Amino acid sequence: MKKNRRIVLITGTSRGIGRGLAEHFLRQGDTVCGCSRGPATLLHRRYAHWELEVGDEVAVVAMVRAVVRRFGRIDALVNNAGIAAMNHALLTPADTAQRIMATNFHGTFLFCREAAKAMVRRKAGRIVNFTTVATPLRLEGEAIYAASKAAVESFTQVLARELGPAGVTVNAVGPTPLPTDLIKNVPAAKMNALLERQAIRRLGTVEDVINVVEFFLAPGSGFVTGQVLYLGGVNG
Amino acid sequence: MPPHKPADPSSLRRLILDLLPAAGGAGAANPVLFGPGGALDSLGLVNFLADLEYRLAEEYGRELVLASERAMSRSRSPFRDVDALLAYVLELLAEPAGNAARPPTASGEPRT
Repeated sequence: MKKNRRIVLITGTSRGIGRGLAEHFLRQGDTVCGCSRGPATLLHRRYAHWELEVGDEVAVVAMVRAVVRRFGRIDALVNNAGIAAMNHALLTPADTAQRIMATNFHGTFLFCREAAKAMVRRKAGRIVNFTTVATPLRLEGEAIYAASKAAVESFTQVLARELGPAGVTVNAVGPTPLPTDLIKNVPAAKMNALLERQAIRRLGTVEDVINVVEFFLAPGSGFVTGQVLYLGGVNG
Repeated sequence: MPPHKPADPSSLRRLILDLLPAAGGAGAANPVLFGPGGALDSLGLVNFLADLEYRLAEEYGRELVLASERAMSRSRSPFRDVDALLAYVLELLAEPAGNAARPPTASGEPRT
């Protein structure tokens, strides 16, 4: 894949890692198509924003096809949008579990399905999904979040096999906690206990994530697919 | 994308046949698409349906997802042969585009 002037679709670009990724790709000269539940927080001549719920099939279909009509292709899809709710499983409302699955798994599935349709037509494309170290670490208090990301991991690995013959790679990155809104309510003691289980005991950075995403998107990574790469020295 | 327009069965049939691979039995009265004796393997069917969805959007201004619950739950697959697919697509195109009436930001036009 040509490094510059890529057409990159990123979900969840209003803040955090998604916004950092969008800014990174814009700095590289790429065109970024982003989405979030609210209006754009990023203004750039090569940035286009869609306001939608990633679990809304009709909205996702409309966005992906509009991107293809406008830019002719999608070189890379980065499925960053995600939500979490830290709670004991026995205290988790059913609606919360459904909402987490809708955003984290169903949203990832819908964007993969629609973007991959455009990619297989060109026999080229890269998909990067987002998981978390909470899944391999089996973190207490994050049962539903970890389960939704376990579904993303399994989906990533099967989809990689289904799309491999079509020249499309599918991988996943599993960040450690980053200082984003997603962890702002996690008690410090719990966060420190989590960091103790990493080989490298620090919070992650957006740059750590960008590095892995760019690795999966690099022209030389065409033989890398179905992989889940955790940061911080966490093993699956 | 063009405005919604009604589908003419013969032109829609031509559109479907044009997307079949050259050796896909396009000369047959009703070419088999998928299954025993079909023109497409599973990956071929994926490519074919993806192409068809984009062509339908270009020609008829409709954003259809062909592999829907409705298609999958039928006792006779709409992807078995060209006649079945033609009937299925005509059925979808004849329906009001209810889902098209969505907020501007979800309708395919970006808000920058």
